[in-house]
Amino acid sequence: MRTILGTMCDPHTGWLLMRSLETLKLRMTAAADGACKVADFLNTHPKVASVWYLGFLPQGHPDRPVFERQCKSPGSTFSFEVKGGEAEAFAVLDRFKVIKLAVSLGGTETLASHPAAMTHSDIPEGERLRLGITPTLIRISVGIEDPDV
Amino acid sequence: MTDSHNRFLGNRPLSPETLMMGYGYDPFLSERSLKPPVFHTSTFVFRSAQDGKEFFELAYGLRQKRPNEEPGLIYSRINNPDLEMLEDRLAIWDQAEASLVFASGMAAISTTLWAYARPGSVIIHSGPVYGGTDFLLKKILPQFGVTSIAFLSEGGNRAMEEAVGSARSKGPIAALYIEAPANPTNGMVDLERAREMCPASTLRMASGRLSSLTIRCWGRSIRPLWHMVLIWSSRRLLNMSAGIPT
Repeated sequence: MRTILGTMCDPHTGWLLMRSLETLKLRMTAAADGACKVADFLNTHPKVASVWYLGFLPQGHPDRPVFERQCKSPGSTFSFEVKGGEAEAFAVLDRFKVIKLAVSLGGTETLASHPAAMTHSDIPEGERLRLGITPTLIRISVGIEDPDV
Repeated sequence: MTDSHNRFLGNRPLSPETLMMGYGYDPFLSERSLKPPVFHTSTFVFRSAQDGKEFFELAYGLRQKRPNEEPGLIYSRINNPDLEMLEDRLAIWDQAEASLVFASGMAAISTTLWAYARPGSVIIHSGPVYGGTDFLLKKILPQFGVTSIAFLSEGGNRAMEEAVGSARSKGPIAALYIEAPANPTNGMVDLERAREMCPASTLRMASGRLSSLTIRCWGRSIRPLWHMVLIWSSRRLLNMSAGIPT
């Protein structure tokens, strides 16, 4: 099917990806370590309502055994809710200095976005809320910057 | 087996991060270049008409590969060395039999779903899913007679089982499509249970049945699983951030 649809990766991109694979383990480890620190910071912040970081899944939560069985790490990307509404979430996103306001995830640079208004905005509102994608939800993909500065 | 396809040092298996620097590439086939060239070519030359005939027979699935036969290169839409080396290396990370890399994440997802979906079939999927995938499932595939049934990843195995049960009454199941953890809520889905409910017994490729195939998924380290197709986004793999659309 891929041959007929022509959706294969091109040679130049393939070469770039091979270059990236050489540092994959280093980058993923650094990003996961950084995300752990960022999640800890947010978890005790007075203006944060909740942090959906897999490392915080309580024992007894039904997802916990699945996570422990399937995953080697909580990874670098998670979401958190701020207290308030969309305006408060936008205020946070607009104030970032080092973190870039952009969709996508998993790269070397830390990115933050607002799923309800951006990537998931074409899902009907009722269904969005049912899925937990609220106006206060910010998704952050932590990169490989120094998590302290 | 050439040295470049050797995954062991004596009896010790080499780890994936060790193999990334050279697996599948022989410098002595490329002017002793340390790094592989970029094969900026759409087509490849045959040494003889017989070679061309034999390569096409394999490419079109007209016969099985002979032992130790290497499929010859024909055309970059079919295969290219930079794609082959990359795919071999990716498969190592997931302990998969094979891997496929696409032009974008949505190319991977849509091509995979098109390979299995037929008019009247049903795709079960976890929710939430990536926005582009949601659009494909809800707005495009139904135009071709493919319906989708969603279950909330937060609903656990029970929600997944109910969705599978409901799908069975509507038509043949084309795929059980899962994002785990879910984007952006991080809800988990039990992949072992999913595999039990929908064994990938119909996975067929030109070279025969595969027991596991990696394409790539939403950004988590996950333990290897057999009998699954894993779809990954290559965003994570790039050390140059926005350089390549995925």
